[in-house]
Parts: sequence; C-alpha cells; structure tokens
Amino acid sequence: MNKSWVLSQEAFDALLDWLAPEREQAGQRYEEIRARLIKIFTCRGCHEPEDLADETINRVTKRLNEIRGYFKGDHAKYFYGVANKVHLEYLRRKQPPDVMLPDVESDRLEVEFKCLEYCLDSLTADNRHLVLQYYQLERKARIDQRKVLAKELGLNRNVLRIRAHRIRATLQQCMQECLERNV
Amino acid sequence: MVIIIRSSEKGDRILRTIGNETIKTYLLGNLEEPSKTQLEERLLNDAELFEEVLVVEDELVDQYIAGRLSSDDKARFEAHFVVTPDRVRKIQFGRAFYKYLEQNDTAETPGAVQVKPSRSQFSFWQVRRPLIAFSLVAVAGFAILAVYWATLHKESSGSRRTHVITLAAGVTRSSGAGFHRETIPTDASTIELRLVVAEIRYRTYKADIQSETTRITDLMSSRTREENGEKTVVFSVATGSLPPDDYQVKLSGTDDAGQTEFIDSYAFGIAKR
Repeated sequence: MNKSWVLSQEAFDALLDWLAPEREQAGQRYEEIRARLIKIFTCRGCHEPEDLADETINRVTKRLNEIRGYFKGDHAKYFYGVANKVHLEYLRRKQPPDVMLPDVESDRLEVEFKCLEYCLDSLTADNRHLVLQYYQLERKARIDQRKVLAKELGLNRNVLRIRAHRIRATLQQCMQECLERNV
Repeated sequence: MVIIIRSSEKGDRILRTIGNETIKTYLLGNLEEPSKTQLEERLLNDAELFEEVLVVEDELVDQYIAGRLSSDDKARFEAHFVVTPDRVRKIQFGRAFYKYLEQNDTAETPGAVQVKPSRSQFSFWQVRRPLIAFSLVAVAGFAILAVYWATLHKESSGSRRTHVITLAAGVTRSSGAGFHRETIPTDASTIELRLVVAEIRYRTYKADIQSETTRITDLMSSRTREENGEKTVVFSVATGSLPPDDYQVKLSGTDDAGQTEFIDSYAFGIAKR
C-alpha cells in the first residue's frame, strides 16, 4: 500500500470544505464516513480496518482538485468506490495472522468480572435495571417476554432493544478502561 | 427488526428493506452481491442502519457465547467475525457479561421483575393521606437502615469468592462414596458446580437444580474443563440462590444438530453454617 503521501492540515481542510459548507457539520460527516469505512472493512474480514479507512480517505483527499471538477453527487459513494480498490489491493497482499479468541479459563476472566461489576455499579439504577433485565431474557432466549418488559418500562420493543445496546456499549467502554487500569 | 432504507439521493423512502437476518448474514461474510454492495453503500449514509449493524453484532456475539449459533454460523463467526482486536474485546465483554447474568439470575419473567415506578407514575408528594405518608417515611427509614447494615456487612466480609463443588454422577466428589453436604464459606458469593462427564461432546449444556423448596431451571453453560483427564461441565450459581438444602442436578446437552439429550443426575447438599 502506498503510504508515502501524508495528509497535511491544508489537505484536510480542503476535504472538510468539500464534505460540507459548515466546518462543524463537515467534521461530523468526516467522522461518520471514517467510522463506517472502518466497519465495512471489518465486516469484510480485514485485520487492519483503521489503516484501510485512512488510506481510502487519503486517496480521496489527494485527488480532491481533480474530483471537484467532474464528480457531482453523494460523497459517500466516491469514498465507497475508492474503498473497494483499497480492499482489492489488501487482498493481494500477504494476510497477517488470525486474531485469536481469548482463553476462557484465563485469570483475566476474574479481572474482567470485577471490572464489569464496578461498571454496572456506576450506571444509574434505571439503566442498570434495564440492561440486566433485557440481557437476562436474551440469555435465556425468552424473546417473547421482552415485549412484556418493554410494556413495563413504557417503551416499544425496538426502542428497548436500541437502548439496551447503548447501555451495553457504555458498559463495554467502561470495562475496557477498567481493564487497562488493572491488567 | 426491519429497517426501511431511505434513498440517499431523493430522500424518500424506498420499498426495499433490510432485516436482521440479512445483517447477520453480512456480518458472517455470507451476503451475496448485489445485496452486499447495496447494504454497504447505504451503511455510509444511514445512521439508523449503522446502529442496527452494531446491535446485530452484539446479538451475534451473545448467540455465539450462548452456543446458539448453528455449526456453520459458528465456523463462519470464528473465521470471519473475529478479525480485529475490537471484535475480540466485544467477545471478552460478552463472556464476562454472560457470566455475570448467569450468577445473578433472580428474575424468571418480566412480571416477576420489580420495576421501579417512574416519577410520573408515583410520587411521594402526591400522597394525600397523612397516615399513609407517615407509614411510607417509616418504611423508608427502616429500608435506609437495612441498606446501611447490609453495606457494612458486605464491606466487613471482604472480596467476593467462588466456592467450587465437583460432582460425580450420583454424589459429591469430596464425599467419597456417600452423600455429603457442603459447607459454603461465608465470604463466597458464587458456587461453581463442576459436573463430571465421560466426554465433552455437546455444544451447550443445561442444568436443572432442584430441592424441596428451591428450583433453578434452564441454567445454561458452554464452559467445560479438562484437568488430569477429568472432564467437567461448569455452572456458576449465586450463593444466595442455593439455601441450605439437599439438591438434585439434572444435566442435559445439546449437540450441533440441535438435539438435546439427558446426560446424568447428580446430588449434593448445602449445609447450614
């Protein structure tokens, strides 16, 4: 992969100008596109999704003067086309070794468990209640009973599902930070 | 959950939909063209779809940990899904969370869950009868004292510990030939039941634990151990869930084809402290 070209501040500013007229809106759009490119590369089984997303953005930025002249339409589609080329090049290269699943019986599991308890305690009582009840039902594969839980909490089923996921994401982030402090 | 995809150019709703199963197929690397390209193009523009992908990712991790993926999906998951440290962290979190839920399983159904009333449903200041209000204050006072006492007690009892009981079919391992009642240390928060099996050949295991007064059903686990040639299936139970009593455990296993078979029965007792 050609990584000799480096994204300068000037080039980055030009990219933001292209993405949206307002700087704040452009910055947000940049973050969205980068996060979603990372997700796409991850879902394609790539081991270095962040590097591939950055390479995609760099290539688009490098050709911005040229692109502005002829490309009209959805910016994301242009990024997507470049991402496909970057992906093809990735496939031709030697693949890094597979990521190993963590050992279930490792001592780390005990630390993870303690961190999780700490993070659950740091949630509000309502959020802790919601996330524990929701995933307890998922663990037991009692999908139909989530409807009852949603009704009890005054939410529709999908709002409950999304809310549980967001609390879970907060928990996971908290646990990661706790593990970095303790392992 | 079905997401209706909005056209990025016209802003109107289009007819094609993307369901959870399609996203799951995509995440496992099995979605064929042109559906894959259509999904990815829209993923770049649709925040709702992006969040849905994150939700289905978590659900897939949970299904993997619970042993609920088919053998094909399990193989795809291990080969295609676990590709980055970020995904490994998701699995690590999922395992810890699953374990926590196993050990803290107190609610059988949502109806049994004590849902805290929201401010709009119930407000102390809306109580108009002084006697009821006074009673509530008294109850609240006792509750605060109880919580305070429990906190002190918890702090004095030190850190949480796991007490392991290994069970051979029929009797407890530590008992030799006869039936034995285990004395659980006061500082143990979790009892880890290790059920000895002849071979580990099932994808998931289920234990039903029963005494005259207590019943824990559908305790699921995919945790197994092999130590000095002895194979065990491991279940974790909160100490409070097993009060002093004599228990029988029925173990069954579910294979890759989804067939569930009874494996064996085990017996043990929890002695009064």
